[in-house]
Amino acid sequence: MKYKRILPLILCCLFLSGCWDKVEIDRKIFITTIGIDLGEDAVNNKEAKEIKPNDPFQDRVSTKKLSITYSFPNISELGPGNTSTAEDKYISVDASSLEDGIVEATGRSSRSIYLGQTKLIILNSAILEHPEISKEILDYLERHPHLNKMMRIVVSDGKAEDFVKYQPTMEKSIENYLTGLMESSESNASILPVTLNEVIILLGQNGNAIIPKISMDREKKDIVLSGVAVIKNFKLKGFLTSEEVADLEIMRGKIKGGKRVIYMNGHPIDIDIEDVGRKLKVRGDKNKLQFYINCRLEGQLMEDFKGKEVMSKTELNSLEKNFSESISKECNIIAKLMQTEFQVDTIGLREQVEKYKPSLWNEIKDNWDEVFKNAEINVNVDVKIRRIGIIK
Amino acid sequence: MDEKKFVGKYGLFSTITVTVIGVGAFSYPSTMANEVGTDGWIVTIAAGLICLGVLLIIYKVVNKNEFMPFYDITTNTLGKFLGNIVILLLCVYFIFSVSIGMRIFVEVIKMNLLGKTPSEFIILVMIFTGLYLVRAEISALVKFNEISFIIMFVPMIIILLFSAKGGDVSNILPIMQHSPKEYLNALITSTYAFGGFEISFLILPYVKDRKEIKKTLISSMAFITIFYAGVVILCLMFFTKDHTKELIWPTMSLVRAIMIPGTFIERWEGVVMALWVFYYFTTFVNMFYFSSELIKESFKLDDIKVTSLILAPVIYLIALYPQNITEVYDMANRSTLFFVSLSFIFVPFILFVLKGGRKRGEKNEI
Amino acid sequence: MKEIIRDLISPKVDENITYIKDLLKDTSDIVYRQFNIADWKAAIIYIDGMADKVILDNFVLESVMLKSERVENVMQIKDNLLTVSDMRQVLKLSEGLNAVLSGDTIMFIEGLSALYVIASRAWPSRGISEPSGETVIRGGRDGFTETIRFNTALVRRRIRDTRLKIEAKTVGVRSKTDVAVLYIDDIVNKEVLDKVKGRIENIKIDAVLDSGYIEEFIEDNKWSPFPQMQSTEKPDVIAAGLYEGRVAILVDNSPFCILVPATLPSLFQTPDDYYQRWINSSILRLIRFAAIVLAMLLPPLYISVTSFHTSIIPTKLAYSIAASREGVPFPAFIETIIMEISLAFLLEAVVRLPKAIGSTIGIVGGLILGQAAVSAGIVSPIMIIILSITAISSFITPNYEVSSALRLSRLFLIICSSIIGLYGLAIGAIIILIHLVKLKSVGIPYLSPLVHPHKKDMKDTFIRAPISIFRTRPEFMEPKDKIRQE
Repeated sequence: MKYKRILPLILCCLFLSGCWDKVEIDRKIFITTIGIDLGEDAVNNKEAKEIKPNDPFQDRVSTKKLSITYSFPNISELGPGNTSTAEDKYISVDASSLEDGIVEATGRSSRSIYLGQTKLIILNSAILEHPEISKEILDYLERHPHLNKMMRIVVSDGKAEDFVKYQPTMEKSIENYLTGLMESSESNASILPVTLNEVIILLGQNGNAIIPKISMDREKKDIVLSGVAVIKNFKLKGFLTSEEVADLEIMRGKIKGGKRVIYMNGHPIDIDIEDVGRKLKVRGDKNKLQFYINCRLEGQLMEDFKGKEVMSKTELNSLEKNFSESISKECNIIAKLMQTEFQVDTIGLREQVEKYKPSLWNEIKDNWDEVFKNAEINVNVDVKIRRIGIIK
Repeated sequence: MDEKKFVGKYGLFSTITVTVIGVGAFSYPSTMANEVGTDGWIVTIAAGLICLGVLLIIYKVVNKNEFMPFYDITTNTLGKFLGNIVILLLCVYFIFSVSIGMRIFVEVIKMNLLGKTPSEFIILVMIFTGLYLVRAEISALVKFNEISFIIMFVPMIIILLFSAKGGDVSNILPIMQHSPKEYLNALITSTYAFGGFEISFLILPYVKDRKEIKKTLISSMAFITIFYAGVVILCLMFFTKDHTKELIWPTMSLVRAIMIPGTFIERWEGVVMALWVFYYFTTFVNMFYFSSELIKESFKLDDIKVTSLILAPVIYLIALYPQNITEVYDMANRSTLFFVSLSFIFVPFILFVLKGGRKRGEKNEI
Repeated sequence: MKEIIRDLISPKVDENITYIKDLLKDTSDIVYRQFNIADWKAAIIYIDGMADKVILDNFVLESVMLKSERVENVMQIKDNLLTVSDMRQVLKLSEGLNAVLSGDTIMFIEGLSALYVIASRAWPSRGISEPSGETVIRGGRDGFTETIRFNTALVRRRIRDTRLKIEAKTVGVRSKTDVAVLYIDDIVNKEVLDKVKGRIENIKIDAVLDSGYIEEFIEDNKWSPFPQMQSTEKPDVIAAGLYEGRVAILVDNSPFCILVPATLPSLFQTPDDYYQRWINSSILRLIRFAAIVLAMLLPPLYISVTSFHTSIIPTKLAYSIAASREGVPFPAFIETIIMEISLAFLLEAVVRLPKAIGSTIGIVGGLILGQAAVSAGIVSPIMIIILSITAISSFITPNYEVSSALRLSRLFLIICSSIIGLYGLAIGAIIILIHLVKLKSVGIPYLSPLVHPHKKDMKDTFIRAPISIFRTRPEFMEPKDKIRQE
């Protein structure tokens, strides 16, 4: 049949006409870090509000709401015969949205912008004070099909651009440095690794989240990753210091390492935390909720002072008791802080009620904020020192 | 080698399984989360049991009719005229669901793999490949299913198991929080995901060992149910029900989010995308074959090669008809009820109730 | 095309000789020896170079000429005088001439309207040596030669069963090549056997030069690049195949014997899988399987990952690839095609060259050319690595024809993936799979035992289970006698 001749012809035309998606790998820029700051017109949004959805030339509404910095490695430095890591280069643009930023950046670069390998987003904390803008940003991040949802996100204390351009001493780029820091949260409890996916899920549930914070130490020209920013309803509510974060982690049952110290007779006694177990109990009714958080902390004694024998049951017990009391009191204070000042449930109490007492949850869910504020939270931390090192 | 009866236990098992599990597997957890929140897996198991029941009825029908081909069974039971109408309606259902599936498939490919390639091209490639397989006989189809089963499920299950690490089992709670009406709606939607088992009508006449059929049908239905329920549970565990509701293709996002430390491939979505092609292709080509076969019998054409060439442009046109992705799902949802009742309830029950032979007393159907 | 020879044998020797001389004029290697046996005239005709003169001189002529007083009439000559072990009486002249042209000697005796064919075939033949294409680490090193009778003997040594049948056929109108069909009567699948025999009988070509011709005539699908029969030079492979219920075809002048039917998994097995320890063999088989998959998928994966979906690979790897590709003028697709073509050139050249130079050129070509190409900036170093891994993996295939087929499939996948990335790769793989699934080797599905699987057949596919487990023969062959071991 004549089909047999026409078919291959059609096929040839189809196959040879184009490879539509082909972009050679060396024509791509791999963006590793995105830093988002507020632009000039962030506050002044009048023009955008007055325009109607079907007006022409909407592109010209150039409210420069955001100022975005993209950093990417200089790939030619990675070629054969060269050193292993590359220097970073930057593109800074002003844009009205994240997508607009990509378009502007493309207009300024000779290669195509590729977001598939982005590892870090730095948000200026000032952005979080404008919930409208932060909602827009988060929608873009969620909706983009190619963004790596396991990337890290941090909040910066100050201009994100400075952080993006910062050159840490230990690594070649800030993204490596921060990622490394977060991964070493094993030994430092005050660092809280958070991926974009987790933030999206948390925000999706009730608009609340905690995101780690970075700040720059002006004199030593150093970046410190400590503390978290607490967000309620897409708006920045406040910051927690690193010690507070450690306590929060204990209450959440997620702490992986770190140290605690008590002073005895002027000497610091340190234990290294190895593990934590947490049990949550909910009692009471919709008028007065009572939460009981029982944490068991396992640790190893790291530093005492010479001249004292620790290897005795009574001695160890008294140390444990002191630790327990001290940490319990701390946690109770932090919990109260969460209730009164921040009014954000970061411990996971809401989920507990929803999952295990669904009927109770149905009653209080519309009134959760009030109920949470008036609830009674009792934290009890039980410290167990399992090991004391190799000397008595 | 008896050309007539060549389908073994594994052939039957794999054919039913790969035909049923298709593109739906990727969006299924989201639909369930939207309807019944965390109870998706319970509804899935219930739907699986119902479909198992229907499948066994189909088996009984085929058995009673001496394992004749489907076309003969229907025309014998309902008479030529009514039989032909029912068959044509069924073909419309198959072709329609396959075309909608094709469009969904293309949209996902464009979203994840190829942004700029024209949809027409992607569809054409798929249709041509399907034509290539349909033009071989049915034994090639079954053999292809047998191999595809291994290729599709072994990597997928391994990858999915790794995702359990990042999830939180308690995210499945609370359970049983919804009204019976919601459960019923969810049940109907869920059974639609099990569509495709009608392929057993096509395959059963060729099965070698008739004694083991019941066991095989049960095991294939069990596998499908466990797979769907497992995927729902994993998505809930990882994303919690609120986020799962928002995602269009939660299974794909789940795979995206998996990190298996120390492996060469960092992001598994590429592998899963390649496997996704197999998922859709098996569903597509089996239904395509069945419909071509039925049309061939119905219009007394000689060769399945001709009917498949006729059906191909139909699929192409229907696949391109919806204007955007929301329209696609809209069309799919609206037609669900009609087609589900036709295929799941009407056909098997009628053929069961009206025993083969000349016209018996008219029993009231729907 | 068929030659016309008369059938009638004249009782007069001279007449026969004249006729034959006339028929075979201008052939200088035919010898006509006329002599007397007592009072009767006689003559022998043979071809110089093909007949064994020792037999003729010592055992035919000597006894016939010197001891002729023992017989009284012509009839008794063959019983009492012809001291040769292999002779027969033939009544058609054409048959006799065919015998002469095959290397036998024919004898005419005055008064006899028949002729005697004396088996005297002996020609210079290559000795038994290890087949160069199928070297083994453990196992016999004898290989077939070009003489069909020696080959059947080699197989017989391994199957001393009365049920081994060797059916002789002649194929080729002019070449009249001897073809032997071997099978074990109570194991073989009768349908397969009948099909094979029927197809051989339908061959009407003038000359069959090698078993390859026969293979092409009797295979199911000539358009497929995949071989549907296994050809081997090793008698133990043939014997093993016969024990499984297959049919073997030996063709004169060819050391390559054909085993039919063949399935793709069986083409990936080597004989020393069975002679070495089973755990080691199983691991080797898995490695082989992984290498083949790698060889097929690596270049297309490289193209799709670098040109289309860069998000799949780890970041550091993406950087390395991007850095190494900077400055390379060709896109990844063209690079791959260039390297595929040069690999093909290199392989062909190495095969044609004499052995000593061949390996050197291989090293020169591979190493230096590759290095130079990278330095010149024509290809990226990543490409060279991919190429070498692919090449090495493709050599693991034991069967040369299969590896050519795999090379073609790889080319196809490269083209597919260069058009639409991973989707193209998946569709290409599906197309190849469909093709393999449709393929049959004399009625047996080509991918058995992966399709229509029988549980028991799995013990010999991906691994090699211990021989004590081999109780039944492979079920997909549907042999008559299923029990192998008690």
